[in-house]
Amino acid sequence: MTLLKIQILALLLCFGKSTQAQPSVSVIFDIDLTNTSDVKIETFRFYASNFQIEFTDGTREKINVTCHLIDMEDKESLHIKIPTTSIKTIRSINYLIGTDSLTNISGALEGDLDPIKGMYWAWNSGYINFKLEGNRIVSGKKTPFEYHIGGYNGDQATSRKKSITLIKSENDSIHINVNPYTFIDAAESVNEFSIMIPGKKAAQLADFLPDIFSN
Amino acid sequence: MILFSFSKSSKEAILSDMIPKKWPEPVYQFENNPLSEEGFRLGRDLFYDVNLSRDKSISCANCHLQYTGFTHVDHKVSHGIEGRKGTRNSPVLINLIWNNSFHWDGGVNHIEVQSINPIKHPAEMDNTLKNVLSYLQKSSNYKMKFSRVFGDTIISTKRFLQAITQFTGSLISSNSRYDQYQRKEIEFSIQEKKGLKLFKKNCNSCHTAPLFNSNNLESNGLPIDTIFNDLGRYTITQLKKDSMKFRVPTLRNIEVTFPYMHDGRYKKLREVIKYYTEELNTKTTYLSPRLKRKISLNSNEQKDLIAFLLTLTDKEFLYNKRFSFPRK
Ligand code: HEC
Ligand code: HEC
Repeated sequence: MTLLKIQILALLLCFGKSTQAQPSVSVIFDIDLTNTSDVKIETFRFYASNFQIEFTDGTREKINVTCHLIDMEDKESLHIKIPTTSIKTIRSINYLIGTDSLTNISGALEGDLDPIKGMYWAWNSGYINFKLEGNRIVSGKKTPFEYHIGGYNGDQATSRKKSITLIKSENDSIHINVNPYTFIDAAESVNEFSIMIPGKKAAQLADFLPDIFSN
Repeated sequence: MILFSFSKSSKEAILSDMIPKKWPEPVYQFENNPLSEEGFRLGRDLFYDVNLSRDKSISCANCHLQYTGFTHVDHKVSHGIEGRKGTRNSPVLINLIWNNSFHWDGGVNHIEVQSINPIKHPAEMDNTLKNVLSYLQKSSNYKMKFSRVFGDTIISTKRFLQAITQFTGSLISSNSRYDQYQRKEIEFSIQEKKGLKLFKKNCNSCHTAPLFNSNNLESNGLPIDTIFNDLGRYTITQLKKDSMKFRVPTLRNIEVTFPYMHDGRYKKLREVIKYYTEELNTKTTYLSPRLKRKISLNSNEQKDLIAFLLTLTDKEFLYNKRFSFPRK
């Protein structure tokens, strides 16, 4: 059964975490949370996975599939370590905003992927890749927004690729700026204030996700 | 398959012994959740534990009763805590490891994650995973049982879900009179043989032997229910073409699993047969191509077909003490 093979593969990939003192690159998400008087963010969490480091000599590390949950309320989660095999100057980093589809069909998972984390839909199984909640003032009125972006299957897929080229070369750490306001504005521009299910709309909104990350 | 070689120390619960000969390979083979007798028993304890619900009033078994093939009795749709009504008829829990999706709309993609639904559903157990885990972690009895299965006393969501799956995944029904006939252990009556023929001709394309279900989502042409307006698969995919499609349920033990269909609209098998043969409109939009040709059965043939369906009752399964409430 191919599904079986895929499941085993996904688990191997997602949990092949090494704990040895291996060289690693720190990836630090700097979330911009300078709430203006207009916008208040109450919840902001998302998955990032499938990190791949590319060096200035053109070589690349293997993709590291581990799924990390980044949560604005959990300082430690903003700082993740990607194991590397060599210490060279980094040119760019590629990753997936969200979880890959194999992860979504692999049954009960643990760690950052534990369904207890509130990033899992049970009735339409799969991870919420991106969750942003709060409220903003729209024409003088406090208006709540609630974006739960998820879905992994075919046209409903909501994970998005992102590539960041470093401006200043680094050997062991990468800062990624995260600006959730970019997403809020983009969603408002298409009149979406609430999305809670997978589908066409979620996939459209997911297209705005890469823009919130920058170097 | 080599996958099946679990340590024999764990007595009864051995997958290779559970899978009937000549059946297809199961979709779920406990690959990351090695089946053991202790795991099966722990799963059974959890299945019958009312403390998994918020007000400690109902267990999984309230809606999934063994002697009716692990579905509920009498209600058209399920009843949860405080008598809250759900929107769908609770399905049987039979031969689940051959299914590649779960729930009437196929929205649940893996047997291990299914249980999160009833635990959290407001009209079912209305609880949270956090509450359930903290209840289990506080119980020295469960701590001991989890460590027997998993090697240490950690009780996590994953272990909890996998333990329940060891039980639900072991609910295999394969000893009906039909199976005995297939194994040439008994003879069918003339009427049952006629019924089998009619079944093969008209029903087997969807309710496919030996499982008498299929992993397809199909529309059997039922008009939409008037209370919940349940569009089935459409709820998951939001594609028009998936309107009114539901998982094809197994017909094993169909004699005792009434009421029938996702909304429990039929109480009697007679009514179901009448639907397929007299009421089904072959011009219904979304109707599966497999039902486009009118099924004409005279009243004798209808009786023959029912006689055959009754051969799918597996008393050994329905009354197997192994699957019952664990009395100490
Ligand atoms: C209040 C009634 C109720 C309770 C309690 C309940 N269920 Fe269910 N169960 C249902 C209903 C209704 C469905 C179908 C849901 C749907 O299709 O949307 C279902 C579906 C299922 C399925 C999928 C079967 C299939 O073939 O698709 C499994 C497995 C299952 N339940 C196991 C459990 C377990 C394990 C528990 C306890 C943790 C449990 N149920 C508690 C009502 C209940
Ligand atoms: C096109 C595929 C298809 C064919 C052919 C078909 N069925 Fe069904 N059957 C279904 C689907 C789908 C359901 C569930 C529909 C629902 O709940 O809305 C179902 C439900 C049933 C149920 C209710 C099961 C339960 O647990 O509630 C019975 C009984 C049944 N069919 C018997 C038959 C018989 C007898 C025949 C042949 C005369 C037949 N079916 C032919 C697809 C099919």
